[in-house]
Amino acid sequence: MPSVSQSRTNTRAEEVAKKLKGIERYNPNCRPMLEEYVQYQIDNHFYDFDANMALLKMYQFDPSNFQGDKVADILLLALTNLPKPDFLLCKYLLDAQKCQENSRVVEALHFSELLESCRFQEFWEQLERASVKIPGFEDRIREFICQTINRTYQTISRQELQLALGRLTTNEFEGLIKTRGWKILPDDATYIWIVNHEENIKSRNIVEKIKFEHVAPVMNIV
Amino acid sequence: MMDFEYQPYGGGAAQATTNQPDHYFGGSYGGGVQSISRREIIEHFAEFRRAIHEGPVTLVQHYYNSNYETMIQNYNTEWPSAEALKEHVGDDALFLTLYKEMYFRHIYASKPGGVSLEERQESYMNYIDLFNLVLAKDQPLKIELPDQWLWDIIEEFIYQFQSFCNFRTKLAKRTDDDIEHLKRNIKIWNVHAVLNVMHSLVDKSRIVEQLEAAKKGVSFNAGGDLFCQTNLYKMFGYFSLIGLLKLHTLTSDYYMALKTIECIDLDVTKQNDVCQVFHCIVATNYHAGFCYSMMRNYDDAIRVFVDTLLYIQRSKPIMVAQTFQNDAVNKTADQMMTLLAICLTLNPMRIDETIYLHLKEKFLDKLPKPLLWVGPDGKLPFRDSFAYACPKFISPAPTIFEQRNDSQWAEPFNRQIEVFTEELQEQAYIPDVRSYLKLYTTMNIEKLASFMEKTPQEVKPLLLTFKHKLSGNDAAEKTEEDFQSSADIDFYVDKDIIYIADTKITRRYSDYLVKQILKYQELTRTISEGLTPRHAGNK
Repeated sequence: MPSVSQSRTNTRAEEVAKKLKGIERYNPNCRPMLEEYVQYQIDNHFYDFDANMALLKMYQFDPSNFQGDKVADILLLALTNLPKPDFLLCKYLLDAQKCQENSRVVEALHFSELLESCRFQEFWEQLERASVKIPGFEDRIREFICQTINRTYQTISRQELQLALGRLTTNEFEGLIKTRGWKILPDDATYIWIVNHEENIKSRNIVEKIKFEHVAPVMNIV
Repeated sequence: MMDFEYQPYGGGAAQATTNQPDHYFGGSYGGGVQSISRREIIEHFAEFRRAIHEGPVTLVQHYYNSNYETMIQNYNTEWPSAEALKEHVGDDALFLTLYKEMYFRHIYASKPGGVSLEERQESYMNYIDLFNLVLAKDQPLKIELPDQWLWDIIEEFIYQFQSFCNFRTKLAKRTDDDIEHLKRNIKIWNVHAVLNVMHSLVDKSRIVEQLEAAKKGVSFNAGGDLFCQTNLYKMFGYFSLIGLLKLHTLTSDYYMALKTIECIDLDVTKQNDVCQVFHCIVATNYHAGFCYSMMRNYDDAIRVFVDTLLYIQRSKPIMVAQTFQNDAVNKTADQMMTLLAICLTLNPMRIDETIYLHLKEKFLDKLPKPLLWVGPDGKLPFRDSFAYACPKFISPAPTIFEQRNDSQWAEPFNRQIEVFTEELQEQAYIPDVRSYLKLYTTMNIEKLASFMEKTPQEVKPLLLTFKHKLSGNDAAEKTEEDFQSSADIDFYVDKDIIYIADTKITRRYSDYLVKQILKYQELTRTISEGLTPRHAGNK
């Protein structure tokens, strides 16, 4: 079943990409198709950054067509691709005033601020109060949070980790730890082992290595 | 609401060029250091025209360059109108269109009091005529023009579009007449038309295919397509890619800007293989580097800027005496230095020594410390640095003529700097964290918190943000080479302790010594040649 739906979304993605080739990308007639496609992405757990940017560009070219809700959807989808700077790239194309007029866009901007400054606990609290109707949204954000924790921590306290990952049942929490290959420390269950950084992050003293290519030009002189 | 019927190329209907008012006929000449008679000017252009049709392209290049030497030195000299030239050279549509392009370029560059709306419109119509002549044919044009000229045409086209956007949004000074005229002619300098021209040139030349083939090291099969094999079309296509890069950067679509030049390797040596126009390479890399900085890809931005600045340094001795080009390159170089300073402040790393020294002297110290420091007058000095370094943004949206002020003109820049500043605010504490971490090899989180006058709970997100913002592309294994150019500090957290890894690099002497050896060898050779008998008396 999953492979069928993936090939279906791939075909759809290809169709859209064809329609956005060259100058056609700016054809206002494409707009309804692109707006529909945003919902398609949400319904099918799928993300097409290029098409979404084309839509934002159309709103930039013709602000009278600006659809706040579509923009909010695009921004939330962009968040699911963190740590890539998709959200930032979207922001540059948006009219500040029009953004402030749509509460869902304002909300998305706030989410971005919290996630980019890694205030994960606050983020989950905010999310609780909001109603984000994108299936799979929480999982993808959690993926980003786990990646960032992976980069930063060798060992993290269990409590810390639970707060960073939002409301998960104990089962879900332990399941996630297993999937990521993390381990509860045998001698101290309050800590969780993430990854061995000690090996890779060490002070280095780099001594200059003179490569032959560097001195080749002078070999025939000396 | 703008009612734009989307038409295929050719939408800006070419008007007959015969009803152009003859403003400049019989104008006054002389004044300026060397006066040049009208007769001489016309003869010069008649010769120029002959060269264009007969070649070789080097002769055309000569005439093209000398245009500016003879004409620009005499700023008071008004160029004869195309009508006047027509009498002498005949009805050569192609030459006259090319001539008018140069004519308007001169007006934009030097007319006191600024360019009028009518002139902008005429220039636009002329561009449409020109591109129609180039594109709407079954056979490629038979003439050959120097690459520099082709680049100048595209560059000027985008520049005039940018200038028009400024003109139509700076409504405070616009007369009622102008506004009425603008309202009635919204198709003039329309963004869709400009995009259409660029894309048509790109498509016709199949330049993307050609570049991708070159990248892969395979030969490009034109399959009988004459257009893409002709240098004029190929280079027009290439320069249009750069034109699009510039256009997308000006309209703050950094994603599309970089996507457009995906097929181009930004390494200056590789670019030089395809395009020998110095100014074009500099412009390409400036815009690419700027896009990287805006999307937080500081590593690539720094790499591109340093590469290009070294290239400019190396090329200074051979920069041709086209002073108007040199000024532009120097300004772009300074802008890149400023951006480089900003990127290095956000993402410190080792770069080439010579560039770094120059940067330190002139640019790093000009930046406020910290970047977002607010002055006693409540203003952000960083705005000035950014305003100097950034491209002059425009808005492609239709003008709202009822708002008779400059806010629509100022808005694009304000928006860009607002978003960039928000990004900087998210990174605001990283420099402090870095400077404290540098002092130790291990540090308790509590200790760092007390240094920064925060709670441990507040500090932990800062550490995560440091990693998030500056990890760039996490390579699995960093080789020794990578460390020589990457960030100076790294760390990880184990329970409550931060373990810090410092990268110390000893001075590289080999590069410097090799350079010196080669220099002295060259010197020795020159001197010894000068001393041999057969050269005696040749000084």
